[in-house]
Amino acid sequence: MIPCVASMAPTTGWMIVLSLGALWIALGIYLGRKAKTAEGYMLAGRNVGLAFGAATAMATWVTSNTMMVAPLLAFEKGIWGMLAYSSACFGLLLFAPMAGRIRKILPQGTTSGDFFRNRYGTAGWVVFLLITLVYSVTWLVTMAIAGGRLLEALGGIPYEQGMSLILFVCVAYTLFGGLYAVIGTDFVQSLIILIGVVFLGFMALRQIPFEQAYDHLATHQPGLLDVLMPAALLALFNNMIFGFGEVFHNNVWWSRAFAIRKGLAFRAYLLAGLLWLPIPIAAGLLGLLAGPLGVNVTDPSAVGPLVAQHVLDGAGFGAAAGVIILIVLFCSIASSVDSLLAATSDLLVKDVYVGWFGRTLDDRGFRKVAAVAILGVAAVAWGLALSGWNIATVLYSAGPLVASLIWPVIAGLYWKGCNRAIVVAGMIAGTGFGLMVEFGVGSYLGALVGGAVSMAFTFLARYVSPTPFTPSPVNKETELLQQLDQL
Amino acid sequence: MRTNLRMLGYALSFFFLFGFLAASAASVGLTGAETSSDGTVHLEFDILAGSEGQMVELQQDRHPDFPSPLLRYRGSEAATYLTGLSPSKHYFRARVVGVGMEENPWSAPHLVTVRYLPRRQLVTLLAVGSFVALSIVLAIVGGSLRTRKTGA
Repeated sequence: MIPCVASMAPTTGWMIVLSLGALWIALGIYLGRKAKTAEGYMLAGRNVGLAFGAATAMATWVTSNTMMVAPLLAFEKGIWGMLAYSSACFGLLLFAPMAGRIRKILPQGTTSGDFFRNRYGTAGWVVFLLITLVYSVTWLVTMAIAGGRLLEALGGIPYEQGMSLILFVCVAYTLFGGLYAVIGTDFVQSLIILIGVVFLGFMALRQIPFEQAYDHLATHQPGLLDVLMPAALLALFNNMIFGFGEVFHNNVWWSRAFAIRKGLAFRAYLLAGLLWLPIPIAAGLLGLLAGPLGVNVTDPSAVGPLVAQHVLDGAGFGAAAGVIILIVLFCSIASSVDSLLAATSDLLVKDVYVGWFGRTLDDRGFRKVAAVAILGVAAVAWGLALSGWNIATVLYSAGPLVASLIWPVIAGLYWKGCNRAIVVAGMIAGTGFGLMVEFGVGSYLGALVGGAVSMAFTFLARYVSPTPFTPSPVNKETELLQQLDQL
Repeated sequence: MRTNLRMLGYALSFFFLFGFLAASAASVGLTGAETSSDGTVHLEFDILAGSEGQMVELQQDRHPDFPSPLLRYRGSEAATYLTGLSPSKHYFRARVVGVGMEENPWSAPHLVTVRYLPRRQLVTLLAVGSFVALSIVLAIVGGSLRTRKTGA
């Protein structure tokens, strides 16, 4: 339970959330009127421009974790802890050249599942689907839980109602508008997040001079300035590799690579990474300044909102402090939830319904199946969010799972061929060893070990009986999409 | 006889008064982990009977005698998280404070030992991490440059 950070009357909380929700739904319906075809619904017509492309990638990568975990890492592990979280920007930056390559080798691709099926056959595709669906659903559930808790703490809205409301709003506009709606709302949300977080960081530094903050840390919390703190250094690499794994494999990013206009993907992802970078640093600064500002922390997971409220109270914002924090956090959660709903439902439709079960779709049928997929994913997430599971532990243990997919993606994009069976074995081995280390040794080692083991297997696969990769089955996919568009 | 009774009365009064004062003296217990690998420690103030709602003061020192204590917290909350403790032994003590109650006894010192990961183990893990991260970067950058040139 997050302690009550900024009390506002529940009616105020409801008004803010319902107003923002109505805005997103209206925007989603307006933008989604262009989603008349399957390609329009899933990939926004493959014509997204640079500004929207960069904004949606940046906004999707800003999650409640950015606003809650970045300050937590800085509060517990200091300077390196803050930088550890921001190292996730390298995932976006490195995906920039990969996005261009993806468009080249899969010109008519629609999901990351297409890639894994083409490069690693059915076995690799199934392993990938299991990993990505587990990761995507747990990520979605943690966002829903975070949203519900934050609405309860900030707005006095009961957890079950707040969590349900967030899911309902995101499902509504994703259902109506597909990726058009998701990208359009992400653009607005990204502006709010960027302005809000940088504003908070700026206000925090205004309240306490840098020298005074440094002196306090040096006297009372010297470990936070220690550049050799082992836990912080290990967190840096673990987060970086976790970030690589999340971005390189997940359909959230691949769908955007397919949706962005040809030739712009590289610049869009580069811009997204650079725009995202200051956000965890500004958020982390709040955690670092908790001690110098004299804020007593009883729950480290809430240090970000706690310090933000203290800073805004000190600057004379009063009741408006909670409103500002609520708006920024709501935007950061909604911008990720909508992307996860859209990308996960695309995988279920394209890879499971069509690919695995061999069904065909017409245009009307496609919208129905996509709607069922979105509602189904949301229902599962809602149920798990209500269950009280410690879903955060599940999400963090997804580090080894996604890290084991890094090298199979790199190999599939840039190598001429490899031994598929060894690569698939590496995915499984990386997952297994990574999980063993995660739970048996330390939580800041799982992704590192998972990535390292998978890397070893993949390198072996390059030299032991490699078989050339076959070109992407363009005709088969183009045929399918043409069928959908003609009906 | 009268003198003895008077003395007995004084003794009983003194005994009850002392007992009353002892019972009403506010006190606090201090609990928390005793080791930490990253300098973070969670301390809870077990506010004992008679002290509810009072403020608690928490001090820290490197020695159990607290020759030069550092004030770490003063407030009415039931717990605190302290971070950034350097690798060393740290002693903590707490007491209830308030108007006219500064003489309350301190809790027994609570020792927290911060011990970082051994240097050799850290270097090994960092070497592995650097190698994996650098390999990923080089593979992507190199692969992108090569495939752009060849067009393959």
